[in-house]
Amino acid sequence: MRGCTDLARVVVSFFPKRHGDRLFPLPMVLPSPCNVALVDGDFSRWHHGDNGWNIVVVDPICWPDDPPRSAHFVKTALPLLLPKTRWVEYGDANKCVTRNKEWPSLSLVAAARPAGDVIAVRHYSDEHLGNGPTRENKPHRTVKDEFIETRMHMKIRRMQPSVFTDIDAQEAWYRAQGFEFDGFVNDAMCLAWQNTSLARQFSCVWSSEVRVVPDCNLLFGQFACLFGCASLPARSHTL
Amino acid sequence: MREQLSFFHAAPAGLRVEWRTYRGSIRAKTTSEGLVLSFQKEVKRRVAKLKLFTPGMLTSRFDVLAVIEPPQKICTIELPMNSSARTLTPRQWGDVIVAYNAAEIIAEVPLRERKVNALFDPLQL
Repeated sequence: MRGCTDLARVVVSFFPKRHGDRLFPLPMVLPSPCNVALVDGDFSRWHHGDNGWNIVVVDPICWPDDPPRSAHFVKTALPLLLPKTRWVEYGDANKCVTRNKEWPSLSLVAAARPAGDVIAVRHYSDEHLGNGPTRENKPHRTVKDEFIETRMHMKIRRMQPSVFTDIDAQEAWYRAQGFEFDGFVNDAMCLAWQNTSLARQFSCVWSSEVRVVPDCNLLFGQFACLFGCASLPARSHTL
Repeated sequence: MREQLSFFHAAPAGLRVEWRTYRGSIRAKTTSEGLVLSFQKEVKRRVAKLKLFTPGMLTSRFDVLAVIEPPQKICTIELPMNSSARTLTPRQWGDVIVAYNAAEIIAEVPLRERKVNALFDPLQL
């Protein structure tokens, strides 16, 4: 992706298959050398199609028992991973799609002339993605709600007790800082990063909180566990 | 999930976040769209509180257009045309915003535009 200085798109599909088949195909996108799909070993190009993406099979070994969390780390760290690309769009393969099963690129960056460091979407519990009418008056999802949902989701995934200990510690840490628990919580299945210094700073701190990396300078080394060093561009920025 | 929980907490001062909303499919919306409801609720609460101390000054409802730039919250408050508070001077508007516990007023627009921007300290909201 060295030549992708203006825009790159990264979709991640680390989610395990169910009942012998992957539930979600990749969203359809206009083919480009700057479209990369990071998939796990269960992905079959023949069976699922590439849908316009350049498929890269990776081993999500950062959290071998929790592949979705590895996908989260990709999304939070993209500005550091692709420091020479002005805009990087990210999507969860199973969620970042339009109702026509397309990549929402026009909505994220191209048509809107965005000025933000990050483009994000509000939580889809307010306006569910393509399923039914919008619910304008529904209370927004709060951070407090999301902690509850996260614990429930981790139970469904049958995660280790240490995961719940981590979540408890995170909540206690935020409460100790007076963090707003009744505030709005965003969704993160679709993101667009503009590679600004603020975005890189945010990416570093956000990734540190997700990955629990004590030093931002260690973050780049952490990518090796996801992608392998061979495909990475040289790190050329300073946080 | 966990990365969502960290989003605002990790955001540095001044980070510009543009919001999109889902509406059938993902589509571009204005920056403020996704946060109107939450800010509206908060500012209405503050207006109600303010009324307790300054009866009659703010007699009409506020329409709120809100833009968030975490961790600060910038809120634009727009007054309806028929509100008696239209007679407030910009300085008085400033007093109103201070009454909301805003950290500072970042911009005062002409009174005829009936709105003022305020920077809220997230810890005060």
